[in-house]
Amino acid sequence: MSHILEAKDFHVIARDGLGRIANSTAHAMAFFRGALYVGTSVGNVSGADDTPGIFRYDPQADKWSSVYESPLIERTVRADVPDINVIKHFTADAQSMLSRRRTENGPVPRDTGFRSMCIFQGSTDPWPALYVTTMSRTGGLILRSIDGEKFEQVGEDGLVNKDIYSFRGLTALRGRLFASPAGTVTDQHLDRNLAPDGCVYVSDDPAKGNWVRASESGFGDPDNEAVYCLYTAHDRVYAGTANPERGFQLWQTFAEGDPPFTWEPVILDGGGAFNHNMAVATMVEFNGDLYVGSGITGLGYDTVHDVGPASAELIRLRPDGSWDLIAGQPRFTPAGLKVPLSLLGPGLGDFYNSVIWVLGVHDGVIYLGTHQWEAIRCLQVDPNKIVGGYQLWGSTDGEKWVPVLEDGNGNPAQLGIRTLTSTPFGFCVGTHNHSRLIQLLGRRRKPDINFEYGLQVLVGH
Amino acid sequence: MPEPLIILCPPRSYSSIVCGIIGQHPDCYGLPELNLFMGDSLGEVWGGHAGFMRTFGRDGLLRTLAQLHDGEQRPDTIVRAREWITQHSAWPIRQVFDHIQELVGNKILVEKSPSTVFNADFLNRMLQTFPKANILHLLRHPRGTASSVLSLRAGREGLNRLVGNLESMDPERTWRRTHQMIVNATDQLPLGQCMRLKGEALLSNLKVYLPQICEWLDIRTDQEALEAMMHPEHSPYAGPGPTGATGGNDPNFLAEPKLDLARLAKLREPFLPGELSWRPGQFFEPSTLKLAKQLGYS
Repeated sequence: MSHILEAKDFHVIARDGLGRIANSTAHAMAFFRGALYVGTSVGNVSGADDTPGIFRYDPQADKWSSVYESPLIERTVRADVPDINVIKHFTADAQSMLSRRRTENGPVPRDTGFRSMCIFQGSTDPWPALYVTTMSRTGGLILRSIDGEKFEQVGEDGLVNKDIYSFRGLTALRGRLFASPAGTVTDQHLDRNLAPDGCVYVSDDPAKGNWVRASESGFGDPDNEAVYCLYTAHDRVYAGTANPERGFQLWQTFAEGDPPFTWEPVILDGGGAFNHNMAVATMVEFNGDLYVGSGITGLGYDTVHDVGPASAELIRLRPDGSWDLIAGQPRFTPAGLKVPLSLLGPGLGDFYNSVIWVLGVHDGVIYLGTHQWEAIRCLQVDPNKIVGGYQLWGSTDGEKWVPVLEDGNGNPAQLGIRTLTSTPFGFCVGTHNHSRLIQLLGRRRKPDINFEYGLQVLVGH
Repeated sequence: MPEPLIILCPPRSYSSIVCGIIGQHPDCYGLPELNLFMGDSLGEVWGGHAGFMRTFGRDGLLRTLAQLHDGEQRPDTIVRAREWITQHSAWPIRQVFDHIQELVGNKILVEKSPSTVFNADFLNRMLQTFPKANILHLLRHPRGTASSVLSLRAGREGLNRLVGNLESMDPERTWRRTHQMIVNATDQLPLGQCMRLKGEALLSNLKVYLPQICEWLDIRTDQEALEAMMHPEHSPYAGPGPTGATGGNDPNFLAEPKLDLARLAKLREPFLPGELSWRPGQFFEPSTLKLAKQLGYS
């Protein structure tokens, strides 16, 4: 009988950003060759101190080691262009401070973080390798390691386009690796989320850099501005888009024949919640069904497209294309009346849960981790009472959900759970910490805000 | 007694036909526009809001009372209804509704007065009067709504002269203000108490959406019930009323209450981009676009 882990079952195995407090997010995670790998990211890269890395945790020795660090490179104009997702949240004063940090002299890390990991064996890989995507202002990269020790770049910067900031989606099906770009970097601006071309690429030998298009742009819809999430289930690849105009779309392909493949729509218009269900953030298969977590980019409100604030939803898709609303707003849809089977509304009843950021399965239980931005709101309301923080929920049947960890596990600046990975030594949880941002935004009204910095990794068993 | 179904939307949003359709379900009773949420008591409603109530705002209540008290709407039963209203002017509006409910029996009252959303006070009064009412937030594309408003005004010179040049009555702003007010007022209600639906989607796919509405209201979904809903013209209020209360609903609906299924099947949403016919050289404002997209228009 499966049982849901409880708060007391978790303990922290990494804190303070794994020794570098600028490491704000455990952005990518995988269990590979008997160890846990965590790719970090840095919120605002300004110099060498902000270098993200890939870390390995040896569960037997209970020891972390750094296995890869972003190389430092000379500054280009793109290293300093403003991040349009962030600046609209900031006052002119805070923007000025960020700008000053960005214009420091000296080299900068090539990468701002590591966004996805996937274990895959391409046609010339000697055995399954760990593939890792980067977020890079010089163009997102794909790294490969066959031994977990050495990581090498495979393919060109940006694969096909140096304006691609990163690859968010990464999944494998029948000897092919699929990747989808997210984020755009130009000489004028950085957008961490939306891609220059919202399509999917595929390769049967990524070690050789042989990537071709697997889909047309936005599946033919120009409002699909990125494919945020790729996932393999039901012997097909699912692709979830970000669509700020009409809400996310979910597409599927059986990937038969040569690419580009035939894709079919599965869910449109954010499942009837329209653009408040802006993007598919995460997917996981559980008990034969696909669970789809949605959300909105930004701190609960997409400043670039003026969408929201909005709260996340959870949907369950069956292989035949029929679907249930698990948590969200009841509604009439072309696919019938949708009522949340969990009896939980948007955000699982918490308005500030803007994204169901990650889904995972461990020991017969499905879990979800949220992005919860209440601490940012508290800065505006009363900076002396900052509450909130990520939530981890679990369910044994996919319908009845219970909270496992709440309030950022004691630190409201731990805004999100970005990664969940099942391992033989326990269920690993990687967090996203916004202490630095909260301190910056709140410093005028409350100079002594001082939450613990940096990402954490927890393990539950 | 069941909770009523209140349809909320600005004028020209298909509410008459939708109320007519749902109101024909065997477990429902579709009402004309009662306009009762404009005051706390019947007398306050009846004697206030002179411009609105003394032109056509009273017809729906007069027809309802005539029909329910006397079994039919004739000039003399309308007169009796008017006398009844005068005699009961001290009644709180909830009591008036309860009276109607008692006469109707164990059916869901379906009410759709656009006046309920004339301002936030009226809307709040509705929510206070029926805190557990089922609420259908009925939508129509802002361009389609505006087009319908302008068409109605064009046919009524007096109305057009009165409001045509008022900035506050600009159809885009009325659409945005009203829908935003409804969103704000209903967002905090318990899950499922308020449901939103695009009128264009409903009317062009009745077979898809009518069973869902019934399911939501927990009423019959069998073929007989659904077929009854396809005949809003069978309502005693689906047509002009007698002398003394000729209106009570959208004039177009009163003239043509039968569903034209072929025409409805072709119903399409207009688009948000593009110049506004009534404000040449101008386009929808960003706040209108934001709300329209949130509600599912593009």
